[in-house]
Amino acid sequence: MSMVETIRIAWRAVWANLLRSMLTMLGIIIGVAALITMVAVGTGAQNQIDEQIRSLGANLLTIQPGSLNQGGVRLGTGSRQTLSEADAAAIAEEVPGVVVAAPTISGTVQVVQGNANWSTLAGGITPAYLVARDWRVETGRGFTLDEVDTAAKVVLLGATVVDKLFEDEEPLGQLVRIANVPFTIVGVLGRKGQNAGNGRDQDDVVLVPLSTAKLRVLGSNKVSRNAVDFVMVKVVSDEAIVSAQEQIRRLLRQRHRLAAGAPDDFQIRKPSETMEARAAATRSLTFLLAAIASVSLVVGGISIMNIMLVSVTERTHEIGLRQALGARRRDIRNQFLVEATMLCLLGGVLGVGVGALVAVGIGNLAGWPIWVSPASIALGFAFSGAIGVFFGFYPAHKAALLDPIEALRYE
Amino acid sequence: MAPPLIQATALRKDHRLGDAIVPALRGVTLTIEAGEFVAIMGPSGSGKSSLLHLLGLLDRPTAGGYRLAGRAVADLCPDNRAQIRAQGIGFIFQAFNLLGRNTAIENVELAMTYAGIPRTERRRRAETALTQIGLGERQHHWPGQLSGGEQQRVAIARVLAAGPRLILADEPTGALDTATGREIMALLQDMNRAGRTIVLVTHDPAVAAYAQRIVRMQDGRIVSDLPAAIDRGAMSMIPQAIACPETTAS
Repeated sequence: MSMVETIRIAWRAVWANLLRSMLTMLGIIIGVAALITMVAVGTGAQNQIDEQIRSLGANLLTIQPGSLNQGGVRLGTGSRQTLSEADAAAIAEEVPGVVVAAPTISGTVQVVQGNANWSTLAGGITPAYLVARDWRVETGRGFTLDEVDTAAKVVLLGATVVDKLFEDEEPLGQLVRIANVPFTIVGVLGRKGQNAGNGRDQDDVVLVPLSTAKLRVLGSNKVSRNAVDFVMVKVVSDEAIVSAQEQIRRLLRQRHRLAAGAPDDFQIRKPSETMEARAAATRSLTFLLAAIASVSLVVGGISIMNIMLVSVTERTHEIGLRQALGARRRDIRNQFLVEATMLCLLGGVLGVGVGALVAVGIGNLAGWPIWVSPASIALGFAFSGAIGVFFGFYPAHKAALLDPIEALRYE
Repeated sequence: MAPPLIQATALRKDHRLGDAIVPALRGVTLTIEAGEFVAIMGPSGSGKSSLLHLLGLLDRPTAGGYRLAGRAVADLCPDNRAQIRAQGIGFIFQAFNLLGRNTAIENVELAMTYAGIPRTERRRRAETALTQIGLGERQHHWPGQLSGGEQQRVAIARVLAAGPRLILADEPTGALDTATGREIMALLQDMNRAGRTIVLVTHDPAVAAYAQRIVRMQDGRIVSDLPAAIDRGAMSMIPQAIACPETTAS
């Protein structure tokens, strides 16, 4: 007998006992709904963290000068000016896997435009900085190499600074004064939002060329004209980070002529580290929740098996008749197997619907980021189908092995 | 010459009841040619139903040979037997055996489903068969909405539409009143005249009278096998063989 025929017969049986079928499906519906909801909540949280990591700049390393130890008193990070532009250039050139190395200095400045003024963070950067941080220029353009070389008086404004200084006017091309020096606004940066690591508003910033910052805004270091506050290094991939970190360390020790055994005079940090730990924790939590939901799916499967066993007993006479009319064992087995699988798949469909609704409801009520992924829907279907086949097989097998004469006699 | 449709040789069947083995057939040899109408009679427990089950390939003999249209079928596996049942054997039961959740026409189609006949063809043949037996108007009724006689006619239409060579009927009139029983027997007789072989199990001499040949059984053996006309004369001399009316089919 063809599969289409078998499916038709199974559908009739499911439809004929609609209430019972619904009750049987309930376990699967709840299981799949729980699975979809849990995974949606977990995936949503994970996407949020991924988004935060991305806003920081993916695969990013920050190198800062080390602390100074003076007569037993240890000063804070950055108290030495051991990191230079040349170091950044060497890293970009010599360490494999490094996309860019951006030497940067920073400080607080007062920005004045017309009768408005605002205190903000100023960064002295090279074009590499925007690459490292995956930072888009929303309107206008970034710095050219020429502007960096000639210490041009050009500035990029962060979105928050634009909000504070300009109401409705177009900032592009206008002048602002930073440390009493007039700068031309060449671009406005795209919005990045809050830094998930330290809570700082990442858009509250003005960026000027590194050379200009040293010459006119922040002033160059007293000890070394080439010293920078930190270097941001972007690595090609997440896998390459560890080896890049090690090679940068070796390169800097060599360049700084540190004796073996002497402590590093710099620090290499991975700013996304804490967030990645959070992402990993969220991932484990998602798996845990999915596993718990799967347990209820298995329980649903057992109830399917239970009902199918009852159904086989109840329909013994029908099975006998079908056998007398020429149904082969596999026809009978398929009939019950398809019926069980159909119950589970229907339960799966309803469960996906219910789960998606519940997930969206939770998202709206609790304000959590929710993401009902196609993968979790596919997983819900596949899982419920597999459960139908697994738990439907024994009752179906039992039905197929019935003796036609005894089955016919059964009332 | 074509081989006989049914050729059973020394068929034995033992039933197992707990630890005890109860012999139901103790060596039955029977040959039925294509086109015959044979009634098997006998008292309760004589083995006539067991014989019918063996002939219908619902069961496997404990010993003995069985050739159906020349093919040895005694030792076939369940699936092969099912296939032969689907394509060559039709059953008519005392209890009609319709599926209550399917309409009359769907019940008629059921046997053809397992024979692998395509859907449109099935529908066409089922309609023809139902019209032929006078139920064309009621083809979409549920079995519960039909009288006993109508239900049995649906069961006959189920056989008619599938068109098997061999029809096995087990007390087909046992649950019907006399008049309806006569209508059913007339339908069976029509099918026999159309060339189908019918083997009928009954304890009712009036039903058996429709057959051309009467096989009488007792204690798992055939005790007489005569043309119907001669059987009537012969039996009047052995009254104990017919003096045990049954109310239930075994």
